[in-house]
Order: sequence, then C-alpha cells, then structure tokens
Amino acid sequence: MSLAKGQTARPNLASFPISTLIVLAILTSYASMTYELVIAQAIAILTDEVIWWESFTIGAFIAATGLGIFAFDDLAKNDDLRVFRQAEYRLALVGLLALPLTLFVHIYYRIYIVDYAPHSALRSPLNWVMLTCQIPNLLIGFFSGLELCALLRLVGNARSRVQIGVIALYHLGALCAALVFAVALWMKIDAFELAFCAAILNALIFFYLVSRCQATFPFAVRRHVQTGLASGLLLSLFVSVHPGWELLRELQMKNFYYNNIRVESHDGGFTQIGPVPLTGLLAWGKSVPPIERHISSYQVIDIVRSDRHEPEWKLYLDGHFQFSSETERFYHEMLAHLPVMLTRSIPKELLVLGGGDGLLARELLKYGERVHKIDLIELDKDMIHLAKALPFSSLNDRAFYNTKVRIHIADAFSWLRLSKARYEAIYIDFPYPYTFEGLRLYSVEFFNLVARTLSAQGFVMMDAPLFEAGEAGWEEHIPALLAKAGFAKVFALQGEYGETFLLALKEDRQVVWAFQDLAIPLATFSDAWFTRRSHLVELKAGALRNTNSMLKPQRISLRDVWK
Amino acid sequence: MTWLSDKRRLQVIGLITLIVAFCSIVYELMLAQCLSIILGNTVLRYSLTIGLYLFSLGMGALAFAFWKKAKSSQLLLVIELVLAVLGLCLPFLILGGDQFLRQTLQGLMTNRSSVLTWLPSWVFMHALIVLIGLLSGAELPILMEMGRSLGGDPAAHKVLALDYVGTFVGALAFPLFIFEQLGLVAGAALVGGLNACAALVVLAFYPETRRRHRVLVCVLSLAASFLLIRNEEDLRNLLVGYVFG
Repeated sequence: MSLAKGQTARPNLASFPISTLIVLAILTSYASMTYELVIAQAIAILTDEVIWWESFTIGAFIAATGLGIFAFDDLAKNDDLRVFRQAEYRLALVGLLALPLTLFVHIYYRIYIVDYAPHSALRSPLNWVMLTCQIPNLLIGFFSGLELCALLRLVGNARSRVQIGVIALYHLGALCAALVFAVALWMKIDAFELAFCAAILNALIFFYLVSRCQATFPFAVRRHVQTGLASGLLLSLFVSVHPGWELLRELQMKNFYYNNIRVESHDGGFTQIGPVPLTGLLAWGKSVPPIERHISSYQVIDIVRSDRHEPEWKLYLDGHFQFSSETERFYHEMLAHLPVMLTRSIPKELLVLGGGDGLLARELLKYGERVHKIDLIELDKDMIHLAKALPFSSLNDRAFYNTKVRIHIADAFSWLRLSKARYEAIYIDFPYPYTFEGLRLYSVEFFNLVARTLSAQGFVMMDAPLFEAGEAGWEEHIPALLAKAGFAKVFALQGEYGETFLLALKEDRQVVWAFQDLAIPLATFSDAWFTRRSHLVELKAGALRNTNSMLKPQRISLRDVWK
Repeated sequence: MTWLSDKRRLQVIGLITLIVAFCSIVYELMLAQCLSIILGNTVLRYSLTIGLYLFSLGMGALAFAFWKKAKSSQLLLVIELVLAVLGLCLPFLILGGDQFLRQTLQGLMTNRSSVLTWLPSWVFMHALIVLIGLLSGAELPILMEMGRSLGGDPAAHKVLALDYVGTFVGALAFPLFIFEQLGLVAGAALVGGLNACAALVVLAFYPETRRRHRVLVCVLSLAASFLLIRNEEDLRNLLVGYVFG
C-alpha cells in the first residue's frame, strides 16, 4: 500500500489480534484506576476528608474520561494510534508526578498559606488548596478516555459485540486495580509504588505502540527523534523519581512536624520565628531529627523526637497528636483513677477500648490483685507491636507483657456487636474523631453497644472533645448520645492540659468529689488537687432530636487546628 | 411517544439519562458508606466498592449486547423499577440483612467467631453491589440505543455526555448534600424515588411498556419514597435499634 507524504499506515484489526487488544484494555484500565485510587487516598490522608475526596476524585475522573472520549475525534484526525501512543506516554508522566505534586502542594500550604493562630486555623483553606492536586486526576481521566476510544477504534465496528467485550474487560482492569490496592493496603505497601508500577505499564505500552508505528522516509526520522526524546525523558524520570520521592516524603514529614511558627521571648519582647521558606527547606531538613514512621493497614504512626527538649518524644496518628512522653502521665492517671475515686469502687473486670499504647493499661495494673482482668480491644496490631518495644515499653512499664491484659486485635465496633460479656468498667481511649472512622466511635450506634456491654452499676470513662475548637455542638451532642444510649448520669471535667473527660453511669447515683487513697503511686491526685479544682459538671442531655448517627452524621467531626 | 417530535423525545431520553447516571454513582457511594459502617476502614471499602461496581457496570453493558434492541424501553422500565425498590430499602437491606444473617448463623454455630458467621453476610453485601452495578451498567447502552434510533450517532454521543454529567453531579451531591443533610435512609429513599420517577417517565412516553403491575410498583415506590423521607428519623432509630441495640 503506498502512503501519502507524512501519512502512517493505518493499523487495522488484522495487525492487532483480539488477545492483544484485550490485554491492552485490561492493563490501561488497571493503570488509570490505580492512579485514581492513590490520588484519592493521598489527598484524603492529608486533609482527613475521606468521604469527600473519595467521592469527588472518582466523579472527576469519570467526567474527565467522558471529556476525553468526546475530544478523541478532533484530536485523532484519522491517526488513532498516534493519540493512543501519546496518551500512554502522558499517562506515564502524569501518573509518576501526581503523588509528588500532592506532597509538594502540602509543603507549600504549610509554609505559605496556613494560619497558625488557633482561632483562624479552622478557616485555613486546606481543601481548596488540595483541589490543585486534582489536576493530575483530571488529566489522567482525560487521557484514559482517549485511550479507551483508541482501543475501540482499533477493534473496528462501533456496534460489534467484540467492542462491547473490550469495554467489559476494560472495566475488569478497574476491578483488578481495586483488588491490588486493597492487598497493598493490607501489606502496607507505599501507594507510590503502585503508581510507579502503573507508570511502568503505561510506558511499556507506549514503547509497544511505538514499535507498531510505520512511517515513510523522511517522516520516519522525525518520528524516531520524537520518540527518542520522549523515551529519554521517561527513562530519566523513572530513574530519578524514586529517590526524589523518598526525599520529598521526608521533607514533607519534617515540614509538617517541625517547620511551624514559634514565638521566642527575649529582653525586647517576643520574636516570631519560622517557618523556614521553601528555598531553605532542604538544608534545614538535615538539621532536625529524623521521624520514625510506621505505616499500618489502618493509620500512619509517627514517633517524633523533640528538636528542642530531649529526650521528649511524641506520638502522632495520621498527623494528629496523641501524647507527649513528658506529660502523658497526667492524662492517663486522670483517665484511669478519677472514676475509681469518684465512684468509690475498684472494678475487677475492665474493658479498654483503644489504648494501644499501653499507657492506660499501665495505670490500671497498679491496682494489682484488686483487678482481675483487663480486656483491651485495639484495631491496629502494629500499634500493639510498637507498644511492646522501645520507646513505648519503657513508658508503659511493659504493661502488655502482664498476663492480666488480654489483647484483642479487632475493630471495637464489630467486637462489641459480637460480644456477650459484661464489664464493671469500660474505658474508652480513642483518638479524636477527625474522620468518619473516628465518628463511628462517637455515634449513637456505638454508645448503644457500649451501654449493652456495661453492667448495671458500671461506669464508662472517656476522653471526649467536648469543648474543642471545631464544629460547634459537641457539648450538646455527646450528652445526648449517652442519654439516648441509656446512661442516666454524665459528668464532665477538664484535665490539666485542657482535655475533657466524661464519666457516664447507667445508674442514677451521685459521685463523691473527694480524694481517696487508693494505695497506688500517683503524681496527679491529692486532697489539694480536689480542693483546687472545680467540681464535676453534670451534663444534661436536653431535647436534642438528631444525635450523631452513622446513618446521618451531624457533621461534628473535628477539624484539627494543628493539621 | 409518537405524538412528540424527535427533538422532544431526545430531551426526554436526556432527562432520563441524567437521572439514572446520578442515581448510579450515588448508589455506589452509598454502598461503600454502608460497608464502611459495618466493616470499618473507609478507604478500603470505597476502593473495593468502586472497583467491583465499575466491573459490574461493564458486565451490565456486556449483557445488554445480547438483548433484543426492539424491547429496549421495556428492559429500561424493568431495570428502573427494580433499582427503585432496591434503592428505597438499601440501608435496611445492607445493615439489617447483615445483622439478620449474623444473628441467625451465630445462633446455629457453636463457635461464634467462626468465618461461617460473617462470610455469608459479606458475600450477600458484595453480591448486592454486583447486582446494582449490573442493572446500572445496562442502563447506558439502552439509553444510547434509544437515542441512536432517533438521531443516529450524534444523539447517542449526547446521551453519553449527559451520563458523565449526571455521574459528576452525583459524586459531588453525595458528600455535600445527600449523606450529611439527608442521611443514608432518606438519601436512599430519594434516589430510589428518582429511579421511580425515571420509570414514570418511561411509562408516560412509551405506551408499549405499560402493564398494570408495573404501574402499581412505580406508584407504590414513589409513595414509599415520600413516606421514608418524611419519617426518616423514626425509621433510622428503628434500624439502629435492630442492628446496634
């Protein structure tokens, strides 16, 4: 067949066996879906808005795919293979750079945009800024639409069953991506590795399509030069992006935990220091301690050493502060022993929900033989492994090695649904509800289960964000939740560092606001402490109709002012 | 629908497309949310549901290829009615079904934490995802075929465009409005009601689809949707009491 000047031989069905088209359909869809999933996850983790970003990302991806399908005819101009080839090349590029872009945008936001004053931090436009990270997602969707159209054109007849079969198998690729993503989460594989492998797939398809390209001289020369340049760029990116990603991720962590505004006092007054600008970040990053990061199937666990007060270290879960090694004792003593003093009874069989750091268990074990068993429910087994090793084990006095503590690795919600046991005391030591995962544990459904698991004379003690900055209404909702679940009395008290504790009783009885010698070593409590502190506040549920239900959350998830 | 001009008929098909595309993505997100409630780990649930749902959409489209094109409107009506009924009771099906299966199986098993106590429920929930995905997947090729029969390929492309628009709007509407403002019970009732509205439109403009029982199901679905939305809190408390009480 003779070709006109610059024209390529148009590929036809005979030159692409059906089996090849099927494989291409599955692989291209797999790669595109992988990018969508990792982008959604990355933004969701940084912003705590999982439902919003999962929904928006898939919607935007599908819409952009539609745009790509519609733009195909105008772009292809009878050269379907060229558009397909270019789409693969661009997908590899954008797919490789999507996650690094997300981290870079977050670094930029933390340095130049976020307002560190607590009262205005809530208005910091984190979600608006992270919208820029949807640009790669939109591009990926657009190019995916182009590649789907190109595949269908290569099949031929627009109404053929083969074409519909290719569409069906294209969606099989999406399913494979979801399954691989789930396995990667379970195996704690970094999402970037998935994106990297998907980009390799796109690149391999690009090179395969290049090999199918036929052109006459001298246009073949131009085509080869273009292909060579594109290949060189791709290969150099592949080589450099991995170490670049590791460096960027380390910088993003350090920037988040250390590169904040500080106020230092001196003779003349106060000086505001920081944050270090972008241009100096690399050099500054070498001067701060490394962050010990553990990625579990459920959360990101960071152990952050102080850059100014050695040997203090802090625990963060998904970027949210949990405790400091210097001050945790005040918190855990209040959580563990205050209800015992107030109710004048030491429970024998205890249930601890959360508390995977072992610090609450350390306090409860101080009662010795007076406590018979402690069932501890923790979702994340990696947290338990950490708690059994240094530096946790020196802080929690190796509490998890005590035979009285029976650890159950389970979702607290599911465990309570299945449990028929009854306990004299239930301690709830969960992270605050910054996401829907946390909201599940501050819902009427959850407290129904807690009330069912508590004995009639028992108590529930928890740390709750009653007066935290954030969406208003916690001080109404939590008492309403507990009242709806069947608790007769709810008392609130603020701790040494502003945290709020709630004590809930199923029985309608009073508590004794006075020090009791429990014959255990305590750093917090004394007669003077009770005299100095205001008394407990009894919370009334009021007439609140719509309490926080997982079927209809009241949008009372917290916005972390420090994130 | 012969008394309408082709342009008007295409507009009707466009309206149906918008509605069903909106409903399809909202069903998918609701399913993911229900599974998150029961099983936890929201990111994992959304990812798996998206993948399984998209695959089922593809299978639904493939199944349509073997259907007689002349009866497209009838198939569309049946799909909308089935989706309306499923959608109306989606949270009850998922959450209530899970609780019923678990309780029954735990009563039968000596080992309460055996895999057989939760596996049937898990299979049931994911089978629902596949079923709703299959039905939703068949909608688009049906509507494109109906559009193509009136205006050729350009009309079919317009139907496809509206499908993507409806999907995008639904993806925004779920987190911003449906889940927070309405909740899952009222939200499912709304979406089921929208499917019933789509069925009503098909009944109105395609006389060959009218059968007494279909009209009855459509009207009852609309009524049920209204009642569910109106009594959302009581029904939600009922469901919560049964599942978590």
